[in-house]
Amino acid sequence: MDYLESIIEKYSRRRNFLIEMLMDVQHEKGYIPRESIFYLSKRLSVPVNEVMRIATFYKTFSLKPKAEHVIKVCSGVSCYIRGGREVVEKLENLLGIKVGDSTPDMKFSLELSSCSGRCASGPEIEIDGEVYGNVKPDDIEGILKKIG
Amino acid sequence: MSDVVNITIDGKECKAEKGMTILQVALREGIDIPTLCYHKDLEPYGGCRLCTVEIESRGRKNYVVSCLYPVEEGLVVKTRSPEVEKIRRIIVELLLARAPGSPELIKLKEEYGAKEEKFGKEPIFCILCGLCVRYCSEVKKKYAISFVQSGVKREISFIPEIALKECDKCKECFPLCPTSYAQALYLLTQALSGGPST
Amino acid sequence: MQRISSYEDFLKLKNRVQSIMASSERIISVCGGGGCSSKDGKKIASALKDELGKKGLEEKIKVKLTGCHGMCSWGPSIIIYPEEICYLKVKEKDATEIIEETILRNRIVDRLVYEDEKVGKTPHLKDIPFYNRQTRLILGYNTKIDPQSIDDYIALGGYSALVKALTQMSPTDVLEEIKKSNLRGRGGGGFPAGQKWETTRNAKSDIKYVIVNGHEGEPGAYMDRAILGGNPHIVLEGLIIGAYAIGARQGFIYTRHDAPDLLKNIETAISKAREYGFIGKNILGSGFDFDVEIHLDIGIFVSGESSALMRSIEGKIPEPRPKYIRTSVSGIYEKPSNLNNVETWANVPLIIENGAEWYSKIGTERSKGTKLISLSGRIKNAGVIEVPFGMSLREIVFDLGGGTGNGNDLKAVHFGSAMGGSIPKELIDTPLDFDACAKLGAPIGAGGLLVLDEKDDMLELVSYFLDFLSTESCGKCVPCREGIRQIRKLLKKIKDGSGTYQDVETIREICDVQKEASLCALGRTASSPLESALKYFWKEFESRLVKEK
Ligand SMILES: Cc1cc2nc3c(=O)[nH]c(=O)nc-3n(C[C@H](O)[C@H](O)[C@H](O)COP(=O)(O)O)c2cc1C
Ligand code: SF4
Ligand code: FES
Repeated sequence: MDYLESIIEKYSRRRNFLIEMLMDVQHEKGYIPRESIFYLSKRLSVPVNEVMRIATFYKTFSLKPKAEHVIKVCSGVSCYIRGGREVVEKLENLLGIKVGDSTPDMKFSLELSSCSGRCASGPEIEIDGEVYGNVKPDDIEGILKKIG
Repeated sequence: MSDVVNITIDGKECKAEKGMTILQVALREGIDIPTLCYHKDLEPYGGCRLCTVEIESRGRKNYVVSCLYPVEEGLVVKTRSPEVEKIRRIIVELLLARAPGSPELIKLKEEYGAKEEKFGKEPIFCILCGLCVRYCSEVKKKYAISFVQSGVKREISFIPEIALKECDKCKECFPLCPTSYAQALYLLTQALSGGPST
Repeated sequence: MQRISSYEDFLKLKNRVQSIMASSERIISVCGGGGCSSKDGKKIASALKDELGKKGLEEKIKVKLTGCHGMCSWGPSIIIYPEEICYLKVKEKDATEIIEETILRNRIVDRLVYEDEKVGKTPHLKDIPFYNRQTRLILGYNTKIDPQSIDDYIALGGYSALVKALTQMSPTDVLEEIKKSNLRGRGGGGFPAGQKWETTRNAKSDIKYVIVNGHEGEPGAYMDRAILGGNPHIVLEGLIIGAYAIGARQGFIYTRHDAPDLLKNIETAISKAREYGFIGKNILGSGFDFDVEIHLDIGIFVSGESSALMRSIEGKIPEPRPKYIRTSVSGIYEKPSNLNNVETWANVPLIIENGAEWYSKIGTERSKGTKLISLSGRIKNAGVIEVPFGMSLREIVFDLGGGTGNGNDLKAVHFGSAMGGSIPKELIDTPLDFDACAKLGAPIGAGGLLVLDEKDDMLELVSYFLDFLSTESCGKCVPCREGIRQIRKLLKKIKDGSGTYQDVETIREICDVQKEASLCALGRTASSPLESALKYFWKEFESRLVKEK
């Protein structure tokens, strides 16, 4: 639980940074391990069900480990009308999973992200931090191949 | 004293203490306002919106939930009006789709002329009044049940690590549930975790 | 850095940083804003620096990686000062040519220059319609300063308003000036800022808070990011001035979790302001103390609502509270808390520096000043603009935005995202104005303007917004949660061709209840895009309904 202690210390054990702490946990581990919810609850004296509620409230958080590569599709309205929906469909078909899931081999997770503000170059997907703009459904196979 | 305020509910003049809600005054005066998420031992929640009433302040009509709205001098409240009835009817219809057969909803359905299957059936059973979650947290301080997720995906969930230790000897939230979903979900939680662990 | 503790100190500092800025012969400003993927900006800036280094010019010519320039669909853009030569869609490999041609030989690199049918090829900012019709009071800084440099901002007049407020004005003077300016909130409601400040100022409490709402959760809105990322100091300065007027000693900036550069710029801004003593104890020797803390949104739309936002600053679940007591009276930890949008705060230094009278000459009768708008959807020049209130939507879409850019006719513009509405092309001469747009059912919200063309389907758009709200709301109250659930089902039925007139009536009934009985403004306006579509684009619904005999 060393990583949790250093996260808690980073925010000087202040309860009003609980949400930021959970984000750091998500960042560090790629998901929010169940034990961390109990640990934070105890250390910050916040009821477990409150921590649980926050940990499940945001689409950014996940209680399940994510796959090796996380594909985020911008869910903004401009991306959507410019073909983002077709991009999501194509990804779902190619990977054989729905948004929010990971492939059985834990290679890819598929997610929607909040409007990135890069509307000028939508539709947009982001894989492991790399941004791809003006994506068309036909580009996707190539992009996935490049990743692995 | 200045801590007493005069309000009118359905034409009846009532005295109330500052800090009371419309619903508390109405209950004391024997005026009926329907509720689903209100419980006298819990913090008012304001989730079901069934207790909505019409108020008039500064010449403007407004709809507020009576379980939360604090009384103020000269407040005029109507607990029933065509618009209030419409709000309640639709709330009941919306909830009936989630929890068909809930006795409490069926009673309300009759009172407000709601249609049983206006929105078809999508039986989830829980109406998310939060009575179980809040009772467990606020009164019992066990925190064994949690709201999880957001938006239309919101639901309740027992936290097995706590529930399996605490719930068998309590079960006080079961009778609070308007649909008996709390009990069913608890049994499911138990079964999935391989039975009670005392 | 030395602490600035008086007016004289500040003047000395200002002179010093101004002469440093003036010592460069030229400044090359490279857009590193979020709107056109900032990574390229970084690469271009370092390529330019390398080239300058090779030529021994790095002292005379400075390269600045700045915030968003605004012309995102033409990005990355660079601007060369003092000539204001603008190059667009620049690539890393263009660096050599730019230095050799433009910097060494004063020649324009033709292929990097803006071009359209009306104006032809135009290298200078002043000739590009996208720029020359704007009034960039706030955004103007973006192209000229390094967001990490407080000195850059000070050299261009930054923090003068703070110094003026703290050394020459009383808190009530400041408040009165803001009231007189008729500044209205830019976060959606258009509520008079001065009036809100006054409520918090007058509320009885030793502890008061001021907060920047930089959540920017509206899809298609990205102007707050352009301000906070490009010049965080202007927001910070506004916040400190506001805190002084209101009597708050603690401030919060609530901003996005998913933009690391933005966060870094805000953090740097706070620490630089602290070093100069603009934040901390006894600011500018005035006896006024103030500190700021950053909180992150983690990405759910509802957390931008004022009471939900305040809960999450407490570390609690961002669920709205019923507002029978306003947050300006009882907000964070039940203390009086004044929340304003990023852009609202950014206007404050301008008003204090130039006076309310100057400010109220800009805009319309009841909407004063400028508004930042982010253009998205079917529009040629997507990006962020700043225009005075009163400019017609036609001018915004066609003259600045360049029209749909895809050969299709305009159909409508949509303001306010999931809580807003559409304005059909027949009404495109409507002026940009809080009240004029709200009257048409399309309140300008935070300023995200989505352009739709004739091929866009209103039912699809409306469904998108409801899908969005179905996951981005909190789900606490029945009218919002269950209402959205059922409306989505009914809309799907209509899209599939089996909807009836009765279904439309049922939808309208649910909308009524959502408006009257939902807990927060999300639920109360969730039906707004749908009702707007029913009003202006009824044919698209009707043509899909089952015909009654
Ligand atoms: C669901 C919801 C989301 C909101 N999101 C934002 C937001 O992202 N940014 C913002 O400034 N205001 C947002 N608002 C409005 C704020 O609640 C608040 O009115 C505003 O920040 C006040 O600032 P202003 O008076 O300067 O406009 C939102 C409101 C609602 C109901
Ligand atoms: S209106 Fe929607 S977002 Fe607001 S409190 Fe109700 S469920 Fe939550
Ligand atoms: S009883 Fe008042 S909202 Fe549920």
